[in-house]
Amino acid sequence: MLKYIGKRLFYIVCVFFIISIIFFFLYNAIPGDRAMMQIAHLQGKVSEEQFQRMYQDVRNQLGLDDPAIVQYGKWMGGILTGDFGFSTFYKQDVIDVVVDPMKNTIFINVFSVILALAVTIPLGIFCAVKKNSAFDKGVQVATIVGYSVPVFIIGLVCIFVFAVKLGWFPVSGMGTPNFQGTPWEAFWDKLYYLCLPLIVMTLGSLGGMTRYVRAAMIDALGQDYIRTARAKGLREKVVIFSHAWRNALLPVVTLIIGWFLSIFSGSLMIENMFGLNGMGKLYITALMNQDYDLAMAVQLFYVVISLVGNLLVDLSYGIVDPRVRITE
Amino acid sequence: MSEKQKNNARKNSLFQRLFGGKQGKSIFEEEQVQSPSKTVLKNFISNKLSVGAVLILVVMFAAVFIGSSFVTLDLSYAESSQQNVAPGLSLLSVPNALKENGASLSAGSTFSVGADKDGNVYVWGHPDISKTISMEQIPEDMGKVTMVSAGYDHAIAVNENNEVFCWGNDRLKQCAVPTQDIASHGNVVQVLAGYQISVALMEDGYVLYWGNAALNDVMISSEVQGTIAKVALTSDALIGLTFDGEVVYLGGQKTAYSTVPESLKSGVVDIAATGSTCAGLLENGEVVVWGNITKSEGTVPAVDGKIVSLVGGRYHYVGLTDKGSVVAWGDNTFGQLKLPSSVGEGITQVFSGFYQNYALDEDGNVHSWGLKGYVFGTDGLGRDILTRLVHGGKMTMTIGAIAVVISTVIGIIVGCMAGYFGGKVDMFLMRVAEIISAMPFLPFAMILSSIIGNSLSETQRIFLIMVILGVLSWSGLARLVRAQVLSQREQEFVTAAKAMGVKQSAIVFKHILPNVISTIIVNATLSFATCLLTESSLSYLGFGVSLPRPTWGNMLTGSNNSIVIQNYWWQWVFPALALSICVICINTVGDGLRDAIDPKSNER
Amino acid sequence: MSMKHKITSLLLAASMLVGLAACGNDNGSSSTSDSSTSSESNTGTVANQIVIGNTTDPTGDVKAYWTNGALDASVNNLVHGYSTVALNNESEYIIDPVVVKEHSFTDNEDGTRTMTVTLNDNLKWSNGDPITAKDYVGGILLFSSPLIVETGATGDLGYYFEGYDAYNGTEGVATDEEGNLVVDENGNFLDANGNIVETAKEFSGVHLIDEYTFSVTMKAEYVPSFFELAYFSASPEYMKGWLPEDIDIADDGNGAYFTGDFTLDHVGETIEDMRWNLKAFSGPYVVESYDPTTLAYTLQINEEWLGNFEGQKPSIETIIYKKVLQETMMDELRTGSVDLLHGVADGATITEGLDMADEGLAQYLSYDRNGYGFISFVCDNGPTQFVEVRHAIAYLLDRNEFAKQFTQGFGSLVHGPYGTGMWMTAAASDTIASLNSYAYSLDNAIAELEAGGWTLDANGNEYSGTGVRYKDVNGTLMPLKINWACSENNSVSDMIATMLVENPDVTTAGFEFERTVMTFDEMLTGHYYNMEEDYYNMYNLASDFPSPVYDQNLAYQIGSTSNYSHIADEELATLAREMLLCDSSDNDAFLEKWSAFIARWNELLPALPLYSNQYFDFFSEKLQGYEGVSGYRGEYDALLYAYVEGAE
Repeated sequence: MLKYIGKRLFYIVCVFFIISIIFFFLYNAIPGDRAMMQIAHLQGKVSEEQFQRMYQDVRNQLGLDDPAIVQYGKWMGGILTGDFGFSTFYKQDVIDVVVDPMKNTIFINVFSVILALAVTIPLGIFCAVKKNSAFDKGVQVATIVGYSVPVFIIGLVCIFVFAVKLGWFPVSGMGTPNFQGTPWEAFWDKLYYLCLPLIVMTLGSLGGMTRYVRAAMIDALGQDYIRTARAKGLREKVVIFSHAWRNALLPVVTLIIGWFLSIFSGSLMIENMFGLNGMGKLYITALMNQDYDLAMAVQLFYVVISLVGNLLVDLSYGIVDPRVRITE
Repeated sequence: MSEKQKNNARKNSLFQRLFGGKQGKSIFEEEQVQSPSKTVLKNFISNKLSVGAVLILVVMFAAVFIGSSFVTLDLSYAESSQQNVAPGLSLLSVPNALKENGASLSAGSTFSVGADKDGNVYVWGHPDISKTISMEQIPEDMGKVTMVSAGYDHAIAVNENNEVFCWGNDRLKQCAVPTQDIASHGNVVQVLAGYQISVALMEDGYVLYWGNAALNDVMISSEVQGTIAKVALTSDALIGLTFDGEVVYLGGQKTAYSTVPESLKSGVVDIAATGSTCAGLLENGEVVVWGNITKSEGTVPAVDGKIVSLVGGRYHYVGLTDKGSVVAWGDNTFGQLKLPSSVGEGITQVFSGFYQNYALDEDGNVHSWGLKGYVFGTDGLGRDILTRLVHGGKMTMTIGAIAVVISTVIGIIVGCMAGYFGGKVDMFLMRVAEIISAMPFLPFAMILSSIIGNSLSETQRIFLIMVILGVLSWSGLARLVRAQVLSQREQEFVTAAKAMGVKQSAIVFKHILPNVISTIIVNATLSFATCLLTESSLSYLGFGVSLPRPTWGNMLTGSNNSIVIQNYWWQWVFPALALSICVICINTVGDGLRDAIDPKSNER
Repeated sequence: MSMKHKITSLLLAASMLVGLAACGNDNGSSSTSDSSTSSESNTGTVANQIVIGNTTDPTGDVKAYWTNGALDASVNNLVHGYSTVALNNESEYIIDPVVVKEHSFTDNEDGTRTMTVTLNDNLKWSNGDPITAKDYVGGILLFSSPLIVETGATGDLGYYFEGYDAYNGTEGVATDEEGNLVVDENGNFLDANGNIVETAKEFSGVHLIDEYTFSVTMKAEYVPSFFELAYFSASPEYMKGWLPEDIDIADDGNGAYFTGDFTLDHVGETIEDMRWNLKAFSGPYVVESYDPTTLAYTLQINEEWLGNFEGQKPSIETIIYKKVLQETMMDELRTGSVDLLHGVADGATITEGLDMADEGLAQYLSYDRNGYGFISFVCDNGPTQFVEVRHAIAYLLDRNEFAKQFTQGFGSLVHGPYGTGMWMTAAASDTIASLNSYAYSLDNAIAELEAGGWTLDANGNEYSGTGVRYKDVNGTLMPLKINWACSENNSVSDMIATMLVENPDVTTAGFEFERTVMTFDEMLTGHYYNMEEDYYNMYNLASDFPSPVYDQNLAYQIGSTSNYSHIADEELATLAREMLLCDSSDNDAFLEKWSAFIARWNELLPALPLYSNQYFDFFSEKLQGYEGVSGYRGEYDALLYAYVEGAE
């Protein structure tokens, strides 16, 4: 097993470099002059020479004039030594820009994943057990509606119902501005602001997860060993939770880990809708303003997360289902 | 068996087959051996829900693909007077009290106003202008009203003792009635409510106007003031007919209708105007139309008898002949020219405005024809939502299908190969999958739209984005299929097949694949829903199908605003319903198919 | 193996409980704390605090030298004050008596003009330090220096003052044939004979005379200028915060300069630290805190502030600037989580706000915009270089219907580069009335095209009446094909696509339009701002005149980098320059030049104006005395006179 993990880690490093090369040339293929971008708003306010000088300064600062390989080398060197470059939009080092959105996104997604799993897994199991019952059909239709309607429509309707009409939750934001109180109160205030986004996120994501859990459970319940377990006179609860659920865990584990990774990726729609300062919004702002150091840093971070995640998923097969022997 | 019993049996079996569940076979009866595809079909038919879903899907596909040839989509259509109209067909439903003794009627943009002979005022159609302003807030103490006029978002009434009332939207001063000026010029002869502007013509030929002068070119020069016998409003300008029969333009700017044709310098009996044209009626019944003639308002049809009076709607004219018959010409998109049979002879007066027309006969009966309303309402630019839903559906479904087919096919091939062969192949394919899944979609879309944006037509660009989407999103399915194949590979029947010398590819695609089909189907149906939604999230970011071409996605993105969600519910409910029903049906069909195909679920 | 299973299921169960508890418990607590008032005001009275919503993203970077988001700029206006020149209630520039004890102008022989200012000695920073002439001179020196440009800021504060080019290192730099500056390999500029251009130590046009007196000298080419006072204005910077102690400001007679080691690696950190947490303020408020999580600034009253040019002091204790969403901002006003929304332009949102006013949930005030939305043409290549093509496009777009659709009545049609809120528009109403309104007319469009020579078809013979028109442009056949670049998610572009590009009359007139969607910045910087020949010849944008300074000089000089329409018309260029160089006291001369400029512009149509809409401010019932907002007088000026009803 250790040999396998070592090999896989080696592969992760190779894939990381391949992806970073592809990214670098992909982003630079997007047309648009990054140096002009930063000082464009000054045209007309400044004399010709002044403008040219600043344009030249910015080009040197970004090193746009040296050949692509050198630029990549400099950039990659910076990444490895922890200097993720300078954000041209926020005019700060990338590291400082990313810190706050990352904290917010992790805070939001931890609760959203917990809430989602807490709802989808029991729901999926219950629907599988009570297959084709009225409840099962009802849940199917409800989850599909949540799944097939764009998140911003669900969001706006929830804002209208819960925030405007009932007044339970605030419309947007992540906390009462100018909040005085103990950190513990601040935590509850932040959570109070995040309840509505969390509900919307969960509604939006119920569909997919429940269907997979239900499909996996139906497969598991159809196996022969369930019939034998029942024949042996085991209590129904034991049959379902220990036998059927354990075998259904294989596809579900893939998704749970995939979901766990989503803790780090912000969801653009929710953040846009509720004005949350998260990673999704940061990535889009960076991309739209051709701030490629920031966009690539965020993107590479996601790449590392997904690579590590894939490794975890493959390893989890072994743990969860001994039949799957992983060939060396 | 008697005839009746046989019929019952046949009826019974047909009904059973279509709607009855899978009747339990007694233990001794052995099923006739059928080919796998026949069993799949039998299983599928027996599942009521899936059959229903298939039916709904077929209806939706038909409505979208066939319907779009019936309902024409005009991409250049934008109508500011029909913005945000609620669903309903009540624009022409004249109240019964008014049906028999109508005196003065007037058609507004989305509502109409009428006064009966004893001076009561009625409003019908879609009266609410905004949440707090409704045309139904008719002023109480109006006494006996003799004249009414309905405009874009306000209405005016004049009672018998020359008092002018105004109600509706007053936010641009369109209801700031200048009472002293009215008193100082005698009786009001004519009132006109136009686009947020009100005009009152006095008996001494003096023209008063108040309201939104910024968007209306209204300016009465001193030499013409006091000589006007009749006025008519286009969508942004005013024309007048002087006492001695000359047509004059009452505005300051040089517009398409500011130069009045020579023939209308004298001998003009009546004038009327539509949104962008003006018309003059000469004594001999000849009608001269000038201005921006875009919807054949200028082609006056031959008529038996002489036209004696003229009224104008949004893009059409209606003429009344000396014999009391009615003739209409111009735009017919909402049936403005389709005169009802009852409008034959004996019509004394015709009223027209925007898209509704009313005719009054001798004994006061009101006949109406024209725009009844919109089945699904209109959107922010005044376009009919039903038309856009049908054409949008066609585009959305094709986009969804392309992307999901591509991603599923690639996903299955890669997943099976990686799962079955394992070792080097598996490691390589999985790494490729990882690279692909790490690729961000948006930069691709951005590069696409800027580099090749201008060399491809609109639909080609969207088609290409969907192909890229398909190519980028197969890695999820591939990993799922690989996991399943890994566990199937150890099964006995695979070792048996190997022992029998079956070819590698046959084992993978003929033997292992059917066992893995249930996850594939679930994933395919789910990813179809995702692809439908991706089009909407793409247009949310600005890179989907660009407006004015409709898709369900960009119709939903268009209502991404709490004002639309709260006030104009029909603009997002219908696209959301269409999308959900379509996705629900696809998923139910998916479930049905999976249960039908899955060999394990066939055991008794 | 089973032990691992137990642990994973246990973990899942535990996280479930925490999740449910977290949300459940929270609902309980939410009902107690009322979201509209801040949680610490447990007493009955209303908190003396208002929350202002703004749809742009704050960044915490208050000073406008690095980034200038709208929200950051509003905060900057509230915390940065005591500039020598102020804008009075009639939007005219005056010397601020609270700041300036006495001032004088002297015209020097070399055509330059100097303004000497003596400050009042009672001005203090918010932390009590006195404000001296060094703070004014230091501010100009620092934010005109090449050093500040290296930190990514714009180094153009002293651009109009004599000696700026030498101090900033752009004096006498050679330019190669196509006009860009000669640069050596590591980026410093070379003069005509190839050696590196040195930056001067002194700023010759800026003099520190004594502790409370300083003088600034305007470049000769900007004397006289109608907006002279605006260019002479200077405001203080807290030099103790920007630069380490060992740097001081001195003036030995030929210009002020920094003493000590004024280099980036010595002063870099201090500048960066000051930028992100400002130490002292000179405006009515101080920045109490910026919270990146809630994207909100908290501002408290600056006790040391002596008041605006009328001595008016603010009475609202705390002002919070918060990010709101365009889609839900009216709900925020309705639920009380926001008290003021400034500058609302969208028709549907205005109607919603006026409905709330009818329901007694909000108050409103409206004012004309000093700006307009427009379609910009590229007038030096492609079909749009010909004036008849630009006229034909104007005739084929029903701008009246467009303005109605977009502003829903709250706005008006403009036919030149002016806004309905400007005093010049009212004063020169006869010129405005006589402008060609290019009302929709297919016949006029066809007539103009045929008069202009667009009478051929693809292979050069007579135009057959259908298909695309061609014109023989010095030998080659040019198709009447317009390439239009627009940005994504833009309701104006969608409307232009509907009412112009898809309009059947456009094809009957012989036009062909092609639309390309791209990001806003790529459109702006990739194409609109650059000077070389480009594929696109039509863009749609909006522009505003934030201050009474109406300076179109650079925008219409032939060949200047900020002449984005690339129009090369001698008369238009001279009118734009003469208009600027009128004497500041002579309104009629300026008005006469302005009218001639607008009329000529209306003839040439380098751009097609679409609408100048009416702005609305919506604010909650508790904000009283808030009025007089206009295109030039922002919400920050009006807030000084406003108060919160019922606050202690």
